[in-house]
Parts: sequence; structure tokens; C-alpha cells
Amino acid sequence: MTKTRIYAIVFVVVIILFYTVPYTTLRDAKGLTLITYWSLLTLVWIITTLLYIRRW
Amino acid sequence: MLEVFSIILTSYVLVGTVIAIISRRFGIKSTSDYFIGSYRLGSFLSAMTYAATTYSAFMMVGLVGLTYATGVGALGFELAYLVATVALLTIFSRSVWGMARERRWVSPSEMLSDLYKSKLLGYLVAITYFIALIPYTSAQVIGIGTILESLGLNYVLGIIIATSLILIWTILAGLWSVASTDAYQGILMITASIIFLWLTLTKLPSTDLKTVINVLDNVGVTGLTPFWSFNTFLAYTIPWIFFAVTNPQVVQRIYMPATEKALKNMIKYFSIYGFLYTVLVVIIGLLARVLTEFKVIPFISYRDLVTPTLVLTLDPIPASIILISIIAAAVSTANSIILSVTSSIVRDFYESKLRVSSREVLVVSNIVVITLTVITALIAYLRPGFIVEMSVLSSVILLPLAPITIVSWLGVKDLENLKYGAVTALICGVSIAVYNALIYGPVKAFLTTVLEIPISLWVLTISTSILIINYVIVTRRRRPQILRRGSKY
Repeated sequence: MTKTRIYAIVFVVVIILFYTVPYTTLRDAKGLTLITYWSLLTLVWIITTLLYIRRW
Repeated sequence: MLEVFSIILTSYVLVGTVIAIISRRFGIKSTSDYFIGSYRLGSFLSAMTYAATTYSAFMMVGLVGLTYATGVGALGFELAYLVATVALLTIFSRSVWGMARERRWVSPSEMLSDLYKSKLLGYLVAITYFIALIPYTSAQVIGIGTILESLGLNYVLGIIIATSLILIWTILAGLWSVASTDAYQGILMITASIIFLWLTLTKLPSTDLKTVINVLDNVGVTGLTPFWSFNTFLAYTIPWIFFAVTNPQVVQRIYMPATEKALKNMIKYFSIYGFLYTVLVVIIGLLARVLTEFKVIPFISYRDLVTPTLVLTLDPIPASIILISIIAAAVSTANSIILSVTSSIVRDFYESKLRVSSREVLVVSNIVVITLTVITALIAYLRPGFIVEMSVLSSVILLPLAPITIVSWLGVKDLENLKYGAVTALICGVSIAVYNALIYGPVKAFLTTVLEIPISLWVLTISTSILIINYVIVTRRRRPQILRRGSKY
């Protein structure tokens, strides 16, 4: 499997997590939980991308 | 306030114009120079023009208000866009960047027409850009007029300033002046958002984080408010997730970096910029809500007024800088769209059909830029309800281009066989969006569901299905031929 395919699959997983977790587990979240969840997930994704494109 | 604002506005216009004049040294000899800088943009310019083009006045006005009124769901919506854009750029941009050079693409409609070997598709895509993006560009001009109106100045003066900036900063050196003023405006936008956040923080009666979070918890904006039902979240995010492949002004920016390293850096710097800008803007929206609860500012029921109300409580100098940054965001988005739509019209309808000199094409390009800008200004001046509201639907109208573009970028063999599917998918998708706009009105159509499914998801599903059906038919037809050929041996 090529690296791009793995990257694309991980992207689909991240997008699914972006939608499902807030509407299931974090539905009644209070405080900074939801803002932290979405921000961290995005940050992790950006870092993953930066590491990935370094090896282009 | 008015005096300070006028001085800072004049300085902003002068600095931008000087930058645009300096950018003329890059020279404009062909449409490739005029529309995409002849594939010669460096890392910094590539990233900043991508960021400033993507992030419009919606961020500082719309997103602040949306967060204020509906809570953290607004962050999820905007970050979903960023995650998807970064991924789509990473997956596809390298091959698209290479193909653009090889095949000498200038406009995104030309790219689709070349890949599908269908001129009709190119024409239809160019028309779709016009229908979807001119109202959206007018909304940016209206925003500038409204800012000036809120300061007691004339609305028409706002339109004149916006139109003049779009025209001058585009015509001076085409993409070079647009990209270099975008970089200048992009810096202004992020700096102003940091100043805005800092000054909003200083207005809080209590800076204790626990107290602030408790206030937000009590209002109920830290979680998913009733506004952000799953369907609403889908309706908002789906068109934006595919923004990087459907909107010509950003697709075209993939062609522009000079080297692969510049392309890499474009993705890198844009993702950092986008993350910072989004988080800053959302925090401003949340803090504005806290200020309302502390009774520092009144409750604002019309959410687009949150930013102006908050800004007008600040000192004149920072307040003016923030307002100018909103104007900058609007101008940088508007001139990039005008240039991009012009490139589609000129390349698909004129340059590809007639044997004309570069000089003639450049004259025609300038005429089209002027015409589109005047149409935009007229819509902004007359503010016809339906057309202005159509700006909300722009990303939904462009959505059928998502499967068409992605399939073409996937390297599917014999793409020519899918040209009828692509044309049908585009016509059906755009028709569904426009039909619903006519039935419900554009604003309501954006959030309306049919069988519990948002219109945007219908548009995407139907256009994708048409392409898949075309693909299956073509593959089935081809299989017996291959088998027959195989039997000879």
C-alpha cells in the first residue's frame, strides 16, 4: 500500500472522529472538553501532515 | 474615531497600492503571467495568497457572531474545513502541480475540460463559477459598505473604495499584484485578530479562567447547542470540506508555486496560519459572549453585529486596525475570485477558440475583470435580496465539482469516457441547488433537509452517483471487448 493511500485512510478516520465523537461521547461535554478535542485533533492532523510532506 | 479610521484606511490603501506597483517588475506578457504568475510564486507568497484568498470577511464577522450565538460547534465546523483542506492539498496537490506545468493549465475549468476532453464541460464549469461566485463576491463588497455605514460614512463610498481596490490591485500586475497585496493583507488579518483577542481579554472583569468557563457553561455554549443538530453540522461542513477542490480561486493556487519545495511550504504555512486564525477568532466570539454575561456589552441578537459592537467599544486606533483587517479580508478574497473567474471566461471562451496575440488577450482579460467588478459593485449597490442571499449557497452550487475534480485527479484511465457523466453530474447538481434556492429561498435552502438529509449532501450524493454509474457502464462495456481480444490468443 502506498504512503498516500495510508495517509488518505488516516484522513477518513480523522474526519469520522471529527463528526462522531462530539455527537456521541462528548454530546453533553462541559467546560473546555469539546474545544480541546477539536483543536487537538486538528493540531495532531496538521503535525501528521507536516511530517508526511517532509518525505515527499 | 472617524478621523483615525480615515487615516488608517488611507495608509492601508497607499501601502497596498505601492506593493501592487512594485509587483509590476515581474512583468506581464501572457495570460499565464496575468492569471497564475507563470508558475513562479515563492513559498511565502504562495502560502499567504492561499490563506488570504480562503479566509474572507466571514471569519472576523460571521464566525465571531456564529460562535457568540451558537457556541463551540462553530469551531468544529471551521476546523473540519481546515483538516479536509490540508488533507486534499497533501493528497492531490503534487500531481496537480506537475500536470498544470506539463499541460500549461491556467484556469481550473480549462483543467477539467482538458482532463475529460470535453470543451462543453469547460464552458459549463466557467458558467457555474460565474453563477456561484459573483453573488459571493458582491457579499464581500456589501460587507465593506456596511462597515463604513456603521461608522457614519456613506454606504456607496464603501462600494466605491472596495471596487477601486479590487480593480486597481488586480489590473496593475494581475496575479502578481493580487498575490503580493494578499500577503500584505494576510499579515494584517492575523495581526488584527491577535490585537482584537488581547483587547477583548482586557475588557473581562475577571480573568480567572474558571470563572470564564463557568459563565460559558451556564450559557451552554461550551457544548453542542440545539442549533448544532447533526444535520445542521453536516449542512455547514459538507460544502466546506470540499472547498479546496471546488472553488477555482484556490484550485488555481495549486498551479502557482515555483518549486515542489514552495508547494510543500505553501501547505505547511497555510495549515499553521489557518489553525491560529480559526482558534483566535472563535475565542474572540466566546469572550464576546462572556462580556455580554458580565453586562460589559449588551446582548446582540443579530449575530453579524457582534464584531462591530465589540470593536466600537475599543480605542479608535485598534478599532480602526481591526475594521481595516476585515476590509482587507474582503478585498483579498474578492480580487482573487474576480481574477479566477476571469481566467475561466478568457481561456475557455476566447483564447482557446481564436488565434489572437498575447497582447489582445491581455486587453480582453482586463475588460472582463472590469466588467465582472462592475457587475459585483452594481449588485452590492442595488442589494437585490435573492442574489445577495445566493452568496450563502455559493459553496453548495460548486459542490458537484467535488466528485468531478477528485475523479479527474485520481488518475482514472480514459477519463474521456466519463465526460457525459461529468456534464450530467454538474448540470444535475447545480440544478438541485438552484431549484431549492428558488423554492425555499437561498438562506433556508442551505439548512433545509429533504428526507432528513441536507440539500448539500443530496447535491454531493447525486452528482457522485451519476459519475459512478457512468464509470460502471463504461467498465462493463469494456470488459467483453477485453475478453474478445483475449480469446484471439
